[in-house]
Amino acid sequence: MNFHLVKILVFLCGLINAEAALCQVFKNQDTALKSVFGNVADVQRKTIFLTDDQAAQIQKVAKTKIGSKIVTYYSGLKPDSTTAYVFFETNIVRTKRETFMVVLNPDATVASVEMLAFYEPRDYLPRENWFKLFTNKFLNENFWPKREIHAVSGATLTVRAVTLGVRKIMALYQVAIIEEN
Amino acid sequence: MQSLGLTLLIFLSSTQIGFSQQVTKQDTLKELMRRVEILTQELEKQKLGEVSEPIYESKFGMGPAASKVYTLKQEGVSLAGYGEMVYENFSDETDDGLSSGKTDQIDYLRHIIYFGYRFNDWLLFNTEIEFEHAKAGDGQPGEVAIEFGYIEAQISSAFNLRAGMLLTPVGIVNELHEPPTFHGSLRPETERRIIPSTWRANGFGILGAATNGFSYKLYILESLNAAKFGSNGVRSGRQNGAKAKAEDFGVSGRVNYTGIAGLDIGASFFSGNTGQGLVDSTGSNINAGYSVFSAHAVFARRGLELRGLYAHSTIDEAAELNNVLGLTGSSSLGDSQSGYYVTAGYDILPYLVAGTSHYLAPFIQYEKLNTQNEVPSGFVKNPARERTNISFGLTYKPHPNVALKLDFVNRDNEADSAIDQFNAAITYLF
Repeated sequence: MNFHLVKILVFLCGLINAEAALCQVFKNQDTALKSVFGNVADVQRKTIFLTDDQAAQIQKVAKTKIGSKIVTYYSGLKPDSTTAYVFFETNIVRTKRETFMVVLNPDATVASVEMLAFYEPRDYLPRENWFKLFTNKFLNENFWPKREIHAVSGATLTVRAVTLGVRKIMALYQVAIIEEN
Repeated sequence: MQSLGLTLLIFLSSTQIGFSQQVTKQDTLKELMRRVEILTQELEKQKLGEVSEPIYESKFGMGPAASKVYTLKQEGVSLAGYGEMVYENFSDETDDGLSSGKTDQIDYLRHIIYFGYRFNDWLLFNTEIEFEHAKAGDGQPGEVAIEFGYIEAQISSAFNLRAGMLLTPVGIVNELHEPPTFHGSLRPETERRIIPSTWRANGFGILGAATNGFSYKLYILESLNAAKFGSNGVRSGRQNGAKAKAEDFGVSGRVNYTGIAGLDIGASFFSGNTGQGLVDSTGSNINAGYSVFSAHAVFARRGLELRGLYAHSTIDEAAELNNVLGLTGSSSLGDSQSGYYVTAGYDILPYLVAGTSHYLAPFIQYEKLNTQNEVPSGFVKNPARERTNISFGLTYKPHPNVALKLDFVNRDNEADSAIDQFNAAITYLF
């Protein structure tokens, strides 16, 4: 039994400051929107009420079910004067929720994907680098785990849940925003 | 949630009877739009949960960060699991042509239930309860066991605490053993005999991850019991946290690097005495120091999956243990044991069926291990302990969490007494 190690552990525990405690929410909505747009004063909040036809078309394109026909998104100019469309998606990974932000470019490619809240054990959360795999991707038949989206050992369900969520948002953008405008 | 919102919308719309007859249609429309906006904001808030709430806000006079706990909701219970049914068809003959004497078998090998409870935003309980071989009880082959059960304090991403029954963090399979996550109906033999998966023990430790892709675990655990060691490895020496002898503890740890997409590379170890109070004929304690080291790499990109592991272990005072345990000749414990395997698989289905979400991967695995690398002076090696296994087969996944497996294992050993086998398995996780 290495009692020196125990002493070190006890010492480290004593150093823990309550204010350093983190939780499973990494970033809230306001902070996330500011990280995309900078000044959020001119950001528009919009809600779409999908028709049955639109919902069916989105599901066909995304190859996944949509949970709701009410969709809220945010659009505005980023600091570099380009337009961004921001969506927030919540779904179930294994038994617990995750919420992530998807930022789309006007040409329907992905600008970024960022995890905002993750309630599963952190072992199931891919590293930040993995989320960069989505950048500049467009919706196509290879936009699936183990194709354009690499698998992550130990995080299979998260990889699938995020990928399906991003597919759904990209399809929604194509069907309900680009085509409608 | 959607139906609730629409119901509320209809209800609110019906309250328009309170409006004066003088109110214009335009005012009514404007009011309806305002109410719809409020409803959609409420729906969005419900959907996003805590993400929609301000993180930094003082409560009860405490600082913003210290107040975070007050803004969080209780998460409650979680339920998950996995399982597998395995069919094993053994060759009638050993490699040297003798009767294998093995009977083919189909077994509901295990069903596991994960049960967890989050007490608050930083404290949780997690457990794995295993049911093996379908039916437990007197004279039945099955058993029920706790595979892990721990309390975890989530302090920060870099530093967390765990205590309870823990999975020894050595190798790949011991911590990540849900069957759809690996190829082959059976776990690699190296991760059963050199690393005795599933290896769990009571103890406590720390774990965390840095932002640059490195993560670590460091535990102090109940050690193995050398009185149960044998020439075929230390597997029987696991105490599994069940009234475990606690004369000796061990230290176990691992470091992983996952900073490159698709790559998981790591090293892990366990080291500790395993005598657990064992004495020799003179009454002197036998420490029976035992150490195992493992290095592994897993790489997954597009349809390609590569996996490799090397493990090496040593047992001190093997000769003294042999004498105390009555092991003679080729039944000797090994002074050292080692093994390695490499696995390669590739999802070919996208080339056969465009746009499919299913998965079909041929795979091949090469494995070599020996539980008697060296034996103490005066003892001899059993050539049957030096094994080479070549496995190949198919893994089909109609869903990422359901895997159907077919494979053949060509077993060889230096005694030519190995028995080949064909396997099939249905596996799942949820």
